[in-house]
Amino acid sequence: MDHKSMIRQFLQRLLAQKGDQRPFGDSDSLLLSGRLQSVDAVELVVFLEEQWGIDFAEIGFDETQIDTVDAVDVLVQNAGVRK
Amino acid sequence: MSAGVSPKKYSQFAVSSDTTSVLRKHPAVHDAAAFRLSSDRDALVAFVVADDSYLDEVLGRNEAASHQVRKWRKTYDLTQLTKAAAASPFAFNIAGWNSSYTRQPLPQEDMREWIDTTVERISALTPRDVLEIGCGTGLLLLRLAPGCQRYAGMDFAPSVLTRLREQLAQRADLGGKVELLERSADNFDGFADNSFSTVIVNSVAQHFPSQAYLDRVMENAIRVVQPSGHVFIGDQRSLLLLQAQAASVEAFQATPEVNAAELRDRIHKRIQQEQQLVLSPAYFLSLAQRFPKISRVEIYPRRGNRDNEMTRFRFDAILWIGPESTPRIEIPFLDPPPQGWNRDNMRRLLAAGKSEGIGLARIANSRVARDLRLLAQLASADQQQPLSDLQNELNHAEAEGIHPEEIIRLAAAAGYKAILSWASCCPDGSYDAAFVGAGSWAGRAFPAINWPRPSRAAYVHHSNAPGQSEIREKLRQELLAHCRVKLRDVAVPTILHLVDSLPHTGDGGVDFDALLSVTQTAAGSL
Repeated sequence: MDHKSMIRQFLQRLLAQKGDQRPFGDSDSLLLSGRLQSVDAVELVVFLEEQWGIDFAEIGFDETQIDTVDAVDVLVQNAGVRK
Repeated sequence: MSAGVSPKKYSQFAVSSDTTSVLRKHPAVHDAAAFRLSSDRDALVAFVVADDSYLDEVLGRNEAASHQVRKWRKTYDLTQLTKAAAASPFAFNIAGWNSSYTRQPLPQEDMREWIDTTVERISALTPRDVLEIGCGTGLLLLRLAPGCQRYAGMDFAPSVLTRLREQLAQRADLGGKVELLERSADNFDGFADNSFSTVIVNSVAQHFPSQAYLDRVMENAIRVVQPSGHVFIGDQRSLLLLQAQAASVEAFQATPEVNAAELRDRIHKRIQQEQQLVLSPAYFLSLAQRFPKISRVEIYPRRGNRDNEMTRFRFDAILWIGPESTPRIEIPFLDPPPQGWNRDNMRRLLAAGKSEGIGLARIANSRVARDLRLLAQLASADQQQPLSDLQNELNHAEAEGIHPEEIIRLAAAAGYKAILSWASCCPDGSYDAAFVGAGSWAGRAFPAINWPRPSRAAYVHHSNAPGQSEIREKLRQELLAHCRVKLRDVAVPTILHLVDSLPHTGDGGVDFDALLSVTQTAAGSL
């Protein structure tokens, strides 16, 4: 499975846990729109740290970095470049 | 386990001794009571207080709690990795303080007022040796520590403490008296009995994973405070206003075409998925029965003129430790007239005032009047009625209630000091006010007042149970299965409420009238 599909699948699971089965596009806001809360964002952050070794203490954190599938994908790609 | 239940007959229900007895024998049950409603012979209602250790160890609440604490720690760590946190001015790092309504940072003016009113209230307790649990970025610490002899700040998030250390480095004068400790809120290792004058738990308890965790924190906080000291639990979200808050936020975020049925559904979901521990003032009042070291508990609505979720839905609880030294002021409390308290009848009373003072009970609270009215509208609205209609009605409705800060100004103009309280636990956010003459309050910041007390029913539900819906459902099913094995079908509860405590009458028996009123309130809610 490619990066983007993995990210999408993870976000889908987070939303489903909240009873949110609505579809979402790669550029749809999930965090800033309120579909996911800050504690859900933490689950995503831990997933990114564990899966791709992204270190937010090093790169800094901003909710826009993980607001959409596309934004998360950019983070993952950049992590690959840094490695 | 409490005193026994006699199979008494009441007019509205009959006590079910068999069901009670079977429930009490299950290891997950700390206490239980059951009755059959006279109005509905098929309805057998059971109330169960679960055993904490069973929930923690057998049903896995401990594990869920640890996970929850880790999540909150990470949440706070992330807030301090933002550019906003790095660029914060001295003593004003408010990164992470976001509005539930807009999800955007709270306005700086709101946060300034929030800090000022909190610092003012705590300062009036004359703290000397302070332990602050969850000191965060030092919004209180950096203001209070200069006036103290010693200040220990605990926090569980390492990035938060790193930011605070950066700020403390700018205040060399505080270096000798401030100690920062990275640890969880329930870790009191190394703190001796009676070693602090004041313990502060401000805007922190909502991040505790359960009431059992809060119990541990409170037990230790009370233990380490010296006689004549205080435990200050500030900025606590009120369980009594949880539904009003959920309605308020959901209505704000909804588009105008959302209909009443959908809005009701969203409000239910928000309450169901609530991640924070939300407590009734009754929880703090009940601590006085459990800990003889507590002589007095006060519940104050938040001060402030800004309109935000802190001023609307939160309260401060203060525990007085050791023998009470303040003489109690006994004043008569008047029930509201049919039209409620308003500026005119209040001014008249104050003008004709008595020197010792007067109390007014249940003053409607304008801070939450609109939210409560919306809830009432939703309870009776047609399923398809759009939110825009409801809001239209709200916009044209007459303003209700009086703002707490206005009461304080009205009192001052009439030569009184007004003290406001939420200790009677009114579910509609209304508050009691004591108007005390200068001679009686004698300059005390916190005069002891004979506040109206809550009904016994107020103690049944102390808190929500964030993140525990699965565990609690599992327990409920386990108890019902146990009843099916041990009882005839007709004696198996049709409704089983998990509650925080059972109310008792003066003779130690279960107060079934109070439980019945809880059932009726639950049936009447949204």
